[in-house]
Amino acid sequence: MISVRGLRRSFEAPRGRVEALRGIDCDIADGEFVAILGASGSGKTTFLQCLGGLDRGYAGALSVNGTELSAMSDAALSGFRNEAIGFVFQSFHLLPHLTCAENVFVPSFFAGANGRRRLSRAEASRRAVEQLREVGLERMAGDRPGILSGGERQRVAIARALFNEPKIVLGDEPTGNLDAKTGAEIVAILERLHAERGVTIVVVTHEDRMAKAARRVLRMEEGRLAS
Amino acid sequence: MVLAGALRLSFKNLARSWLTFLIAAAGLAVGAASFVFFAAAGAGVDRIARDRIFPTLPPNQIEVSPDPLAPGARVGGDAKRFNDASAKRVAALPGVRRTYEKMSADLPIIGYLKDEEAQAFFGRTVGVKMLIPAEGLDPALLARDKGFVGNREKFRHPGAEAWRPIPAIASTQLYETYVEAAESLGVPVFPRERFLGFRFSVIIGQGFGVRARRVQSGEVQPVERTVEIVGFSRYALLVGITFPIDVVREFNRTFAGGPSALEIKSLVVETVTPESLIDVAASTEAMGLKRRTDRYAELVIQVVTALTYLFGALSLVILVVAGLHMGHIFASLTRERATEFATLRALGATRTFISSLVGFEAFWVALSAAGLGIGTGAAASAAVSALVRGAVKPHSLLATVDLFHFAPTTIAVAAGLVIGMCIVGALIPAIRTAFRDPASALTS
Repeated sequence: MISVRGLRRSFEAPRGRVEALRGIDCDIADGEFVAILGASGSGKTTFLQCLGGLDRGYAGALSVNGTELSAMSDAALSGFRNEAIGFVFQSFHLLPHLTCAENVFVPSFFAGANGRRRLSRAEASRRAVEQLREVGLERMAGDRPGILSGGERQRVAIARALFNEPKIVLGDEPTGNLDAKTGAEIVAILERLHAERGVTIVVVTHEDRMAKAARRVLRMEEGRLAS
Repeated sequence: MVLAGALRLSFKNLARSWLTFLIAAAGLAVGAASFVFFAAAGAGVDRIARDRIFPTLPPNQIEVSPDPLAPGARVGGDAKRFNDASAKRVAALPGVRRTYEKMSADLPIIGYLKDEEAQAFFGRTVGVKMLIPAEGLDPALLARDKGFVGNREKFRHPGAEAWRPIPAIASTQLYETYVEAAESLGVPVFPRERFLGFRFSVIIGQGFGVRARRVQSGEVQPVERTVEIVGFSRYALLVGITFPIDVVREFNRTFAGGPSALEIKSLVVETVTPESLIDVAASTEAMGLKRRTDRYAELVIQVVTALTYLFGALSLVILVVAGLHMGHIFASLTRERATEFATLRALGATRTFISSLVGFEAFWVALSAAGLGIGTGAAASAAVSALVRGAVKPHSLLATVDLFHFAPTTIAVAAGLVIGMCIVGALIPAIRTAFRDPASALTS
């Protein structure tokens, strides 16, 4: 359960203070598929980063399963991101010098910091291939991301987000850099994961198709939730 | 556990940017190479100067003798005498391991070659007689001479039989002077080993128009003996011949007589550690003994040391500049990789992981630079050594010594400096990267 109360976030910009979030209240239940829609600059990405514990400069209350994120230390928050959150970015953000399998099991590098058992390389590699199989890319496990198409890269990124079997997946315009057909494939994968694994999915998007796939749509306007 | 992950990822990252890192490492390697080269050259030249050109004592030895300006009564129980009793007092000082006596032969000795002796060595007769300065040395001191050539066991009193040759040692530096002179004069150069076993005759107690006191008074007659060279040592008299001290003591008692015949010339004092030398030197000075030093040698060695420090300082400047350059490279690389680090943070990397990752990358670069630099420095010094050896005559000093001395501490200091400079250079970029806000890096 994600609970947000009076969430505010502002930044210092060259032309003055920007109020990115102006008091957001909402709850997202476990296993929900939520799409956040809104114009550019409406605060969608900032909201998503706050939910994922990447942005800690907010005011207000934001808790996940009863734990207030702002009260966590940096190390604890890193552990939270590693275990509970899976991120999928618009630009994929894969590490180009690692193979697809290595990219997928990068989260295993940080497991030790959270007191969680660190996987051996062989075990991590096996699990990475399993995740790639889930997104139909096990044959590309040994390839570098540079030779993949945009859609394939995003599928690798989804496999990486799922590596530690998180309860929440946050997507920041995951289909924004893809053509319509490929974007539809990504939406289908997210729908399937939601249905099969019961993962909570929160996606920032401009796409109607993604919005239709979500069970709930939140609209943002100038840092506020409109609906 | 976190470090293991950072270590694994750092290898991958290095492989990606190997050319950039190699260029960065080159600067550090140049600094390390020059540091190793000059430090080894300084140590090598210093060693040659101390051991071969100007024989100085090891760092835990001093040679002391009575200071004529100091009251002799303080030296020992026997006023104004520097003898065995004085040596025992010095040996009892705190920090002294043991003492070795030296004694001057207080009588004239004439050396010459009998026809059969000259034939055996030169293949012809040599009609030269000369007055030879002589002194006695405690044979135990030869055990401290690592450069000794010959047979230490033979250097002891030969016994009462007059037919036995008296063992003697010659100065290592005297031999080297002979080699230099022989080569420049174009006369044959004999290897040092050829002189071992060389015999010549001496007349003890009588010189050219001078006689020992007891010979003068008619109490004893001069005697003729054979002397055999049994070794070469840095502790031997530079110009003259050195006998076992018991031989000289007996000569002085027999031919010179009187209490002065029992006086020792100087005392080599060996301390427990080099550090205790200062205190021991102060104590012996307080006893009215002065330290015997070669001022010219000290000056030359000081100049060599100063030059070593100068070039070492220049190498340090190169290392510091290379370290700053390394910092600059890491700053721009981490800036370029801001999104990558932010992604890692989003996936769960802690700040410690990120700074460790950058630190490991710096460490591997430094380790490569240190290996490359030390290897290059060693190769350059080997090349210079080979060039010098090829340019000089086979028996000359420079052909028989190592111009460079690689002490383990030099290698360790060079590696430590390179790794230290690299880590310091990368430290600020590493910390800055770890504390960069991942949200803004991902958004931008």
